[in-house]
Amino acid sequence: MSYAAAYSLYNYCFHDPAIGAAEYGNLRLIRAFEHGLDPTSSEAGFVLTHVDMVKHSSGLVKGAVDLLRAADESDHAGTVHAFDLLLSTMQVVEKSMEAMWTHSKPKDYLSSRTFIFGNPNHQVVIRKHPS
Amino acid sequence: MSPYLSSPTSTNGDGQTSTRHDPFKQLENDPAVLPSSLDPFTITTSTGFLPLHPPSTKLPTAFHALADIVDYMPIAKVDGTPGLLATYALGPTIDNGALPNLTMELDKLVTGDGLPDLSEVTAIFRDYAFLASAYLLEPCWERWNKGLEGYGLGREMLPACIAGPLVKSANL
Repeated sequence: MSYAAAYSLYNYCFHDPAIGAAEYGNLRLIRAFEHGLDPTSSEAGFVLTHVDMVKHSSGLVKGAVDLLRAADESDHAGTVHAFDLLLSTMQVVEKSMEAMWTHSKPKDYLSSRTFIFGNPNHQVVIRKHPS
Repeated sequence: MSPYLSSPTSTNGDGQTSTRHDPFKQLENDPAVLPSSLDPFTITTSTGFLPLHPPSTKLPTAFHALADIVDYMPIAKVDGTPGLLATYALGPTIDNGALPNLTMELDKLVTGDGLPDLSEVTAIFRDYAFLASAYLLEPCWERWNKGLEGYGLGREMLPACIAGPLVKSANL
């Protein structure tokens, strides 16, 4: 499945729109295979932890843009500030990732994965209908 | 100015305004004012790699048959009661014609400027992607859930009512 356009990054909504993505506990799935519509389930935890990590990625994009601009303008303070933003963003992303296995039980993943990639012996192929 | 940053007056070496697609054109724009005809995964400094706008949760009216099936599909529905996958009933539901082929309906999803509404199209792609995986892999889930060894094999054929709009929405 497409990670961005389907399974994860286009599959979240908010319990309270006023809070938005600011709090992990406000995130909900739109679609699920198993028990994912229950936000405390392992399926929801697995997907929504990815959303929670990626929500910080604006800091990485802004940090990269600021860094290029500062370097281009030989702006030493701006360069340091951009590196600080990249570092602090990576720290919050890392912290969010560390919560993965409290939001989602590893043993439940064996069940969830059934619908994500199937398995190595899988022989399903997409082919044109004979008609 | 760094060549990696967009400039509102970017020109090529001949002094002509470049018509080359600029992937960074919207980089520092406010997503709130960007049209839904843009790829929702256009990168900005305020949304990063998340979509420009929160994903659509309600599909357009023409896709209600799809929305109904994916609402009823999960092993546990939103109210906690068993859905189609809980009783391995998704495949028979599709095979019995519950889902019309809505491929042509995708052409009607345009924004005010006549361009494809990629925000809506992506929500529809998401739902067909979930449905395609669930349809193909439902037999594997049944085998796993019954405690048999391994996942077994999935269905061999994806019907046109899923494959058609899945491919079309992916290409848009």
